[in-house]
Parts: sequence; structure tokens; C-alpha cells
Amino acid sequence: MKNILELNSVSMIYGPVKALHDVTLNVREGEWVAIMGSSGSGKTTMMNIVGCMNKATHGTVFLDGEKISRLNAKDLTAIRRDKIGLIFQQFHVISYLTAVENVMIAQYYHSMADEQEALEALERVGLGHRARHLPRQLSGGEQQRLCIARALINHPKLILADEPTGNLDEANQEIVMDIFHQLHGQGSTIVVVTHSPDVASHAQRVVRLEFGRMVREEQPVERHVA
Amino acid sequence: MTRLTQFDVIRRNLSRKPFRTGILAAIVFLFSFTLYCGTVISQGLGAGTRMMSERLGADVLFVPYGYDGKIQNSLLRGEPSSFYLDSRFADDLRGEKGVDKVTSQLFIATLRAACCTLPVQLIGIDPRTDFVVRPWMAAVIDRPLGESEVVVGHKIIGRVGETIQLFNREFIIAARLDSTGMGFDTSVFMDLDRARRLLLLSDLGPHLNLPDQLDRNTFVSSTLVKASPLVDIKELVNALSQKYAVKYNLDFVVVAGMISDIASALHMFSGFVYIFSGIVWALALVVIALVFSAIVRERRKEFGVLRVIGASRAALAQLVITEALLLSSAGALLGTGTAGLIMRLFSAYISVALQLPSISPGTASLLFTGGGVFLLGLLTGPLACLPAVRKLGRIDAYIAMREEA
Repeated sequence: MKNILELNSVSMIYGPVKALHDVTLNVREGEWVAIMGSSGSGKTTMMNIVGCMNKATHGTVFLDGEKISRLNAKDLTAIRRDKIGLIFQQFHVISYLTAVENVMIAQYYHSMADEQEALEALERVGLGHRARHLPRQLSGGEQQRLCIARALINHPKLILADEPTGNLDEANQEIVMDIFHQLHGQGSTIVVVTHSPDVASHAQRVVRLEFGRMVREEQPVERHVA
Repeated sequence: MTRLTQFDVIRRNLSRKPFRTGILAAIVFLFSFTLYCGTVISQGLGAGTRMMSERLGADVLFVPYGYDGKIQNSLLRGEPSSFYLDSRFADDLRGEKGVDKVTSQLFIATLRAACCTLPVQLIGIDPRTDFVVRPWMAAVIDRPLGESEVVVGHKIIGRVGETIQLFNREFIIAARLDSTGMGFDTSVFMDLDRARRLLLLSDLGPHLNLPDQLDRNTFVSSTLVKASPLVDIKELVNALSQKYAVKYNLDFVVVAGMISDIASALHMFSGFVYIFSGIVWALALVVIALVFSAIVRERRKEFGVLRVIGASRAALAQLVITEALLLSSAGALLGTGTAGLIMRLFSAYISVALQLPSISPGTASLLFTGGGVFLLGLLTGPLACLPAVRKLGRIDAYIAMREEA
């Protein structure tokens, strides 16, 4: 399997603060990696760089074979739009668009809105029956599934999820992780940033960050099934 | 089938905040409305003043003492009035140095009673000497007026060939003059001798309180003088007043002074209109800028989401500018349209209320001014939202999205 993501000696320095220090990480195509660390460990900085929303001050980053570390803002936007699906802890949806429109807006900025495809994406996350509802009419778990449907609609090469279950109850957390399993089963590459050992336990590999440095890589702790 | 474009997103966002959208559009409406009405009125007054300057032809108007205001009201606003002057004054003037042309006119206010179709200013002109009315009357009638014929001003009701009743006598409308924006628009013109006979034979005749020295067969109302080229009008008026003021109990109006007074009033009015429009525009720019700044702050997360799903900074800027453009276009279109309609329907009342000579600008001029005002109104929103667009560029999508709600 080829590497879909390569970080080589990546550092991010904000004035006197080294938010990320000499991080090297490879993620293979189809792999599910969890990045763990406490607050201030550099997880968000790393997400920003891998998600093409910021550029590293040092080092190189390759995404799907393309060197993204020196691209300009416009090209980074294009990469993000075409190759990355982002999922956040907060359910970031557009309040005045219906569920299906929230998915279609991602299609619109990618290429062209296609309602049928958007409806199918909602079906896949179990929200087919809620397609015409506004976000305020959806529960937290449903809103997060809507965000997942939107992140997946343009068939990204890499799914980046930042604390995707942080605001969910146990039942919804399970539903979301099931969806991730399905995606992984279909060959998607997933990078999850979390400080939940339970969420990390779903991954194939866990990377630990501390004070901006990658301290170790480990196999996930085996999950206890009730 | 749901359709979704950036325009739909803008439309949906504007319609979910109808009050805010309405207020912002109303500010642009107020600006467009004020500027369009003010500009059209100013244009009308400017054209009226120019027309008056061209049409009056005379340099000095001599009237009976104390009637200088009456003749100005009659010329500017068409307020009917009657006053009488000795016609021999005109004969005396003909030999004076510095006097090029002299003519007399008779002003008769018709009655509101049943004798006349409507109360108007009847002006008798001397066809042998007139140099004021005939030059522009020639554009509509190229022959002397018949015994029972009159020429009517632009606003007098009745078609050419129809009759009009004045002092119980029917007169045929021989021609209608173009609009002048002056009192001439509500006047009826006829031969001076005929006008005098008409007055004497009317019910008013026996009650005419003419000063003793006036000949009932030759009296006039005013004598108009055109000075010879290069003559100083002020000096001429002083000389003539010294010589004849007491003898004929005279007062005078210097036309240049009257027009200059009107031009000053117009200048003040236009200045007020443009200053007021400027203030409203500045207010519109500031309010829209502040509101859009607040909008960008309020929608940080939404813009963050759009950035994350692939909207470029340019696309977001386009989104905000298009929102502002839509608001502006609604306000500017309604403002210009309403102002245009009001100016079309009420321009006559407005010019009467302003008590200054005014001519409604033509359709092409109205459209051109409307286009300009609409464009300026249209640009108000996009210009005002530029600071907010700059802020938009500084939003860090990822950080904005991680902020707590």
C-alpha cells in the first residue's frame, strides 16, 4: 500500500512557541490512524497542516503524492476540497439549509450540486428520512452524521476527524464509529484526533503527541465488548 | 428537485433575517429617493431659470410703484394680477440714449366667476413693438392673431381650435406655447388693444379704478426695455428712474437681478439636496459597514464551514458582496422607481410649491439621472461591506470552527 499522507520533520513555530516539533508520520492508503494527546500537545496544529488550512514552517508534507507544504492558499483550498473530508467535534452545519442542502453545498463548492447523490449520502448515514429537515430539527447525533455525510460526499482520499464523538452520547458515539468502520471497510483512509482511548481503540495504529513532539506509536488497546 | 447555488445560499440567508434585510435596503432606498428627487427638482429649476433668462428677452421691467413684487409673482408663478401704467412712458423711452427696444404689456387677472373658463393671467402684447413673446410665439404660430384668437400657455386647458371663455366672450385657441416653467405657462396672450377693449367692455369695466392721469384707451401694465449693447443696465435704470419715476409713479425690476436671485435660490436648493444626499449616503455606508462587520463576526463559524468544505476566500468575499449588492439593488430600485413615479405624478405641484420657475426634465434625462442614481445606490452596499470582506480574509477557518458556540 502506498502512503496517502507523509509528514517529514514537520515543525510549526508561532513566535517563541513550537506548536509542532520535527514530526514525521506516514499514513498508508486505507489505514485508520488515531492521534492522541492532551490539550496543547499539537493535535490541532497537526490537523490544520494536514487539513490544508495552514502551512508548516519547516518540513515537507505530501498528500496523495502531492507536496502540499509549499502550496499557496488557493491551491490548498483546492486540495482540501478535492481530497479531504473534515469532521469536527462541534456539529458545524449551516443552520438555514436543510440536511440535504448542507450536503449539496459541499458538492457545489467541489463541482456541481447533485441532489440524488446527496440523498444517497444521507441514506448511508441513516438520515434519509431527515433530508428535508433543518439542523435545529435534528438531534446532536443526527447533526454529526449529517457532517459525516457532507465530509464524504466528494469521495475524499483522506477523512480527517477531530474529536468526532466528543459531543455525543454513548449510543450516538457507537453509531458514528460504526459508520467509520463501514468507511474503513470500503477502503477509506481515516485519521482521527482524539483524547478518548475508546475512540482510539477502533484505529489500527495510535500516534501519541506530547508538547508538539511525536513521542511514540503504539497498537490500540483492545476494546472490551460488553 | 432541489437546486442549490451560492446565490440560493445568499437568498436564503437574506430572507431568514427579514427585518435586518429590510432596514439595510430601506437606507439605500432613502438615499436613492432623496438623490433622485433632489436632482430632478434641481434640474427642473435649472432648466426653468435658463428658459426664463432666454425667454424674457428684456433687461428692465417698469411697473406702477409698488407692483414690482406683483409682476415677479406673475412672471415666476403665474399669479394673476392687474395693475395699470401710462402708455406714454413707453413713447418717452423710445428717444432715450441706451434704450434699444421698448414694448408694453397689459396684465389682466380674469375672474373666478362664471365669465371665464378659469382664472388666468391675460397678457396683452403689442404686435408692433413686442420683442419678448413674439420670438418664441413664432415657433407655434407664424401669422398675426385674428380678432377672436388667443395663444395659450402650456398649462392652460383646451386644445388648439377649441374655445376658451374670457369675460363672457368666446376665444379660439390659435396655438399653444411650449412649457416655459414660468407664469407664462398659465397665461393667455392676445393683442394688447383687444385685451384693453375686452376689459373695458367686461363687468369690470365700469368699476376700473384707473388713476386720473391714465387714458382709458391707451393704458398698459408694464413697459419692458431692452438696453443697447454694452450699456450698463444699472446706470440706465438710474438715469431713467431719475427722469421718469415721479412723473409716471414708477417702480422697476432688473431682469438680471431677478434671475440672479432665482439662480441663488436654485444654488442653495441644489446645495442642500447634494449635502443632504451626501449625509444620507455617508450614513448608509456607515450603517451597512457596521452591520456587515457584525454579520461577518456572527457568521464566523458558517464561513469556517464553507472554507473547510472547499469555498475559497474569493468565493466567500463574493458571497458577502453579492448579499450587499442584492440589498442595495432592492433599495436602489425601489428608491429610484418611487422617486421617478412621484416626480412624474407631482412635478407640477412641486414646482408650484417651490415658487420658482421649473421645467420637468424630458424622459431621456429622467432615465439618465435615474440610471446614475440607481448605479450609485447599487454600489453603496458592496462599497460599504469591503471592510467586512477584509475581515473575512483573516478568519482562520479551523480556529473559528473550534470556538465554542
